[in-house]
Amino acid sequence: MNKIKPLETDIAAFIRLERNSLFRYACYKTGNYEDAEDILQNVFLKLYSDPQKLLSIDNPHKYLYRSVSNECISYYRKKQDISFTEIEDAGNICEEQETDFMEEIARINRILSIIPEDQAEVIRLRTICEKSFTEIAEILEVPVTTIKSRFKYGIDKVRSEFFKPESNHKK
Amino acid sequence: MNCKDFKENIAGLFDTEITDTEMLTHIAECESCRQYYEECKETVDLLTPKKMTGKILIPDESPQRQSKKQKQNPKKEKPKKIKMIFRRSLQIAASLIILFTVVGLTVNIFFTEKVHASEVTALLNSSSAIINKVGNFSMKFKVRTYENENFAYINADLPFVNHYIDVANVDGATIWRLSKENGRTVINNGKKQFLWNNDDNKGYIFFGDSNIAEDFFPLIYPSYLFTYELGNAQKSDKDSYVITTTDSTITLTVTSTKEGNPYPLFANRTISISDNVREYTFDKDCGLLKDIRFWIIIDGKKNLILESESISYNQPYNILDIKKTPSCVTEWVDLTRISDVIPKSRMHWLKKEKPEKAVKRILNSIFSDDISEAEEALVYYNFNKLKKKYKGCKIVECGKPFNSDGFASTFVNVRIKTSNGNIRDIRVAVRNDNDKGIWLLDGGL
Repeated sequence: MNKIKPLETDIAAFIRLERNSLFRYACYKTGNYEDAEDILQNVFLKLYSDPQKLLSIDNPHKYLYRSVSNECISYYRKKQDISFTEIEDAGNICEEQETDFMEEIARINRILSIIPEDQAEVIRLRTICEKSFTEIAEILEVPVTTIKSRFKYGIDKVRSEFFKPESNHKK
Repeated sequence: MNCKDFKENIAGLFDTEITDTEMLTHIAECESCRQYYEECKETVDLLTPKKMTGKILIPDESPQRQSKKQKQNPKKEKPKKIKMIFRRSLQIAASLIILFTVVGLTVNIFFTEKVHASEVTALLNSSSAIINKVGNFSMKFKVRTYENENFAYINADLPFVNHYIDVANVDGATIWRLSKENGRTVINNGKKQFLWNNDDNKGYIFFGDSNIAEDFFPLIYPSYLFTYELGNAQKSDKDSYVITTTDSTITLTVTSTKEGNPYPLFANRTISISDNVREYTFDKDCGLLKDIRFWIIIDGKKNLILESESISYNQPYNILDIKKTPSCVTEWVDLTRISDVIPKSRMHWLKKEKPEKAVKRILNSIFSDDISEAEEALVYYNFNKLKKKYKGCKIVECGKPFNSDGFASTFVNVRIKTSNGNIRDIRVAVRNDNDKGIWLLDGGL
């Protein structure tokens, strides 16, 4: 049996555990299923093609989410027009009519677009990636109290849009 | 807590673990805050994906999806195909890197392969490490047993009973709930355990480390299960191991002879006395256990005795749901306090007592309406009901103690003479696998 360095094994195990969550995260960041795939492949390939890098990671949680986030931002810049079009086009889709994952991404992204990005990012990591507030604080490198405030204000803003009496959004 | 504080701290109720019970108490008491919470909850729900929330990672290229893509991007079809082949190659390469790194190049992908015991070590070690990092999990599984039977009895002849396990790790403590549908439930709140049957208004409180979950303990702590399998793999040369891989799963199948399985997987004798097969299926992407099945082999035929229906990890949960005790239980017998009330000298001889003597003592106590002689042993029973049924009876003859397959109890056959002179044979079950080591009445009356 091949001997595996403990650190490499830890990171590989961590990737296995987090892979679905990272993929969902990339999907929601880009609004695009296929681009998310490419982004994830790029991040993993970069990671595994640089053994020194692999050994120098002390917090794989933070490293992976930030890598995916950064990769999404550069990808997003390149394909901004496409992503915006898809999100806007899907704007009128209500929950009952969702037939697949892409439509759900579009619906949630449309809602998140009404709040500041720093609040949307916390909500994304909490509801889409299922991270705890402590983990989110670690990934974004801000205090947990700030994370909770961003979450609260973001949710409050969406709530006020969706629960005001004249709202057309509410189911 | 006032309403302002509640609203300020509302985010805490949407974390992966809810630990602030003050907030939950406030919701129960304040209607306005409850409404605020419900609206926030609905908002969070709106923002929580319902599709692809679980294991799906690599998108499939179903005909439906392809046709949809063609409609959306008709001009891009040719480059997409080339890109897809390239992407798929990268995908496979990346998957291979990850998989080989974790399982140490021992498993053939897409094949069923008989492997040596030592070769499963990496797989079990890896899964054990991953499951230890899980914050909470729930499992629904079915077992051939009775609803109100203890958690140490499995019988291949019985129909399946649904079981549920909910486990949450909170502040270093493991809180769990194990229940049989329409039957026995035990919860561990991190300090004590609470046990009740749904057909009784009496419940029992045990120490947190008492083995009330009995044979199902390894399912509550799967890493313990894998540790057992690892130990067994290193000791036994009679077990056979097969690994089957698909594009999304890795399945480990262990076939043991009763001789090759010297330490029962469960303490259950159903498994330790029989040739048996144990199957664990892991998600290839995340490494977590996703299915478990056990068979015992009788006359060369595999009999399924335990099968999981669903296992989910890190889903939102409310800790109070796990800790909740039923309102129908009106009397809680606190067994953690037994040692406080039993004098040391009495406890000393109770621990040394032989099972047949314990059975005689317990029966004489019931027959003579004197609970003081067996109060500790009758904690699971309603003494008044027993004395009404057996008052005036006498022991005629007491047999030797014996054990029976599948039961944790020790049995003693007793011939008794009833108050109207009839002779009757009863089989009394007692058990001393409690933290005190004293004999308790466990059945037969």
